[in-house]
Amino acid sequence: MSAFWIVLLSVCAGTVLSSVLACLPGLHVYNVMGAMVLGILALEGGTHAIPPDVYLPAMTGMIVGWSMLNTIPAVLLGTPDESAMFTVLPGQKYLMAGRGFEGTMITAVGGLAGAFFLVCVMAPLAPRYLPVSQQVLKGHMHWVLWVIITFMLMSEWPKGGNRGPAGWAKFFDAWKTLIAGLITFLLAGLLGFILLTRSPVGHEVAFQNIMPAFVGLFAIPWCLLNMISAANVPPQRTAKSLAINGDVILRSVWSGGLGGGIAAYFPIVTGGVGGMLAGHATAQRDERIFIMGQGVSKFIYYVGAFMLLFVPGLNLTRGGGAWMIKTLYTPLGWADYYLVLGSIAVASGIAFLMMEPLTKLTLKFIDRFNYRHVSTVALAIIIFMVVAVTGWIGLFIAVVATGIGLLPVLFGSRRLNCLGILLLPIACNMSGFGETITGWLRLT
Amino acid sequence: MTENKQALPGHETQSSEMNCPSCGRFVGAVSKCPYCGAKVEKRMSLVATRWAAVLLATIGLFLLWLMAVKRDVPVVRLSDVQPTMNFAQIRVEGTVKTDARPFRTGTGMSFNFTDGTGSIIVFVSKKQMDAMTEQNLIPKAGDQVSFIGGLNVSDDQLSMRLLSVKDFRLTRAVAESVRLGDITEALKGTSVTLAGKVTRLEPPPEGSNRPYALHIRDDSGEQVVNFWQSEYEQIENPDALPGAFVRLRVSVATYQKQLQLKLGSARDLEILDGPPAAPAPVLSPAQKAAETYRKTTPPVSRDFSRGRASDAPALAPADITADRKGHTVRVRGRVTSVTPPKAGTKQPFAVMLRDGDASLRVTYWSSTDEFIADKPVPGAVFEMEGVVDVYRDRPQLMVESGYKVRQIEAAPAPAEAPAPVAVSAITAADKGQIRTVEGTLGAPRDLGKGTAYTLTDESGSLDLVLWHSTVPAEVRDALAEGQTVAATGVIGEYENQLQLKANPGESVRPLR
Repeated sequence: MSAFWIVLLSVCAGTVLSSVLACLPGLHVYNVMGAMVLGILALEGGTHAIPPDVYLPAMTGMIVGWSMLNTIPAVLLGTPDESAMFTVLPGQKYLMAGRGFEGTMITAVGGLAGAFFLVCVMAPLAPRYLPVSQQVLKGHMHWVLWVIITFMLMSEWPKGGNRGPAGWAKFFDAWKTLIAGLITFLLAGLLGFILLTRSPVGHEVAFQNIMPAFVGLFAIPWCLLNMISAANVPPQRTAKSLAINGDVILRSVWSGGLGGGIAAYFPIVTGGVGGMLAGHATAQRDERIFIMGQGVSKFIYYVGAFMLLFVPGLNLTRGGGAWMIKTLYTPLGWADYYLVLGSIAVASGIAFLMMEPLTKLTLKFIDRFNYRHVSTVALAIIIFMVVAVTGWIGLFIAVVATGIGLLPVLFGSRRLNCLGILLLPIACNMSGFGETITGWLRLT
Repeated sequence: MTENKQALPGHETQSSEMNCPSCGRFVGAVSKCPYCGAKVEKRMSLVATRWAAVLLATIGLFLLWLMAVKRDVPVVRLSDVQPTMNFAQIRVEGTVKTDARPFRTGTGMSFNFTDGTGSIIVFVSKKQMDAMTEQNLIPKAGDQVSFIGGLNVSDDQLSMRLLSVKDFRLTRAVAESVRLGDITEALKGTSVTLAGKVTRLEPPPEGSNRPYALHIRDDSGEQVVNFWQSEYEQIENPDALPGAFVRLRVSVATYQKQLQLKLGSARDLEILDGPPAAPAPVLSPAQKAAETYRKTTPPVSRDFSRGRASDAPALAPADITADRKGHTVRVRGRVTSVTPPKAGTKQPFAVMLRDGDASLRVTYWSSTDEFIADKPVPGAVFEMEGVVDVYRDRPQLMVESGYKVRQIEAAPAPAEAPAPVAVSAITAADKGQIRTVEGTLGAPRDLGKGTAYTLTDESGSLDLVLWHSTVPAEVRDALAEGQTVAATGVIGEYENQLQLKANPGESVRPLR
């Protein structure tokens, strides 16, 4: 079989697999890819070794499929990942109004627009301009991170304290959510220092040592909350058209592309943080732009970050997918770049076409099964994944992280504060005083 | 208590606490309505969950911290390192293979380490380097070390980043006590202990980059020990050195075909109260052990070429054309020049590879250079793998991994320089011929890509040109105005003036 057909079949298989897996709430594509990496390494050197021509396009398809179809559980089942920011509230509003199908499809159109933007606009420019900008910016990343952290913490506004008599009670009411946000950021940061300096996860699977914490911070709290206070989903309607137009798409690409681009390019910054920065920068107020922009942002964040590894002359490692590929393969030259771009384009088309049937299938599923039971099954799958890859110690880390991840959900502060797990230790390390802090914590 | 308001259309099926009692909108788990600000009463379960979460987070984090602090970091053999161990914090124990070398950028240093089963490059941050300098922990070849580091495993690179200086345990290699007259090239690459009387301390000339020269003598002979300004500043009483008896530990190297003794740290220098006892010329057990160590065959490095279906095709420089842009290829050729980036710039290294009449420009970044075990030098044969690119309409090779730069054949020893001739004896008929001239250097003149000096002897003067791409920086930096040198090069002509173009390598040698 020629290389063309091998690549095409691999990208199709990867996309279809991840599209189906994306509908499972709480399961992150990087967990599945991590398990695949283990399998590829186990087969390495034997007669059944998997060549890069198979796993590179397959993994590209998996990231593309997941970044587009993960919208389904995020909107319909309320289990967003760390890149979601605004999707959940507007998405849930669509769901509660019986328009969950429309909400997911609008996000999918955003993903498709993101794919066009990435392949047709970013890809031709990246090899020429990104290596230069990387040379200029790489000495400044530490203070950029601190500025982002400062903006993230300071831009959270008080959600109470505007009624009632003046006094400590009113002050506390105003500051309750802000304090919860700050505590979340600091606790997550402390957890990050422990995991990045003396991770209790076994060294044999150290490449997944942050995974249990991420699962605990983002996936488990949502499952738990749904199990405790699940809302009944009203009957859902499907639609043959979407309430969007070219203007909405262009404005979504502008805001989402900026947010996703920031997240993909800067280290540790995730789609949620990028979306927040872009949201403030572009000041788009239309709810549809929020939802579609998130589709664009999520696509650029996950797929764009992965693509950066293959940009000739840049080879920037950003995001979990790129780090995992790097343990298997070192991209070299334009052939790999074209391979990945082609895979992205093909996978985007397939993933978008799968969006409608899988959304309808999921709607049927949640109509038939109890929302709490779905969340319970999702939680069981997540726990199984954590234990299978990182053992019981990983589960313990996930439990601790769950405690931190529940704080913003229950106190009404931003879930983005959980990203302190990476932002705080990495910013300290890049600024040169990380070791001083780990020394205070007696970790080094 | 607020009276429950009628739920809005579409929200009828929700339990009452999911909707705002004031405006009837769906509010989910929040306790204050984001639309109207009304307080939303929740059942006990959510309130309890909040405090349970706070409790879980703090107690769990404390337990995790205790676990991390009390846990022993596992000792891992380098042969057991797998790609799934990327980011792992492990302890390794073994021997330092090469002296620690600071980065050109001043951001830290690196050294190569082996535990007998494999070898790895270890990166040390600037802050850690400063702390290690202060504690005399800078690793030198042969030292035994044990430390904790963070692993970085990628497809073809394996490296570690030192986690903490506090956990860095170092046992200095046994340094043989040798008499000054017994130091030969056989000791190259080792550390030795010397003792003797300082006859002279020669500071570097004003404005030059040369090191200090400490002349010491014992019964068997005299040697010069070199060290830099930073070490000089650390010596407690440098004024007491001339005439004093000293004991010092130095590393033996060669520079410009001559033995060089380098003092790595001021802590390795001890001023004695009186004459030291002369070391026995016979080999001690420690010396024998050190001898055995020197003869040990270095372990075969691990193969990190996983994941590649096949090696990139091997081509000659003549086969590299613009049509191959984007292709990954291996090219073998003799290095004709090496141009490092100019100080303060982010330029790449540029190496010219030649095979027959064809030559190819190869470039790589400083970050890649740090991983190259044997640095390219003019005259050596190298094989390099990279991606073909086009620069100013000419094909060039961009190397992206230091592990893809391999020395195939070391640079041949330079041919015996011809006997010195007087400047006045050089005529236009000598153009293209190799000549050696002994003379005094005039003021240096910057040529952009090179430096020119006026070389004067008793019979006349001519220009000596040193191109940066062929003459190593160590050679160029050792030259200063007023110095007497022997220069070997090719006679050329520029603007009707004869000039001596210094040969590649160590072609200009200070005489006094």
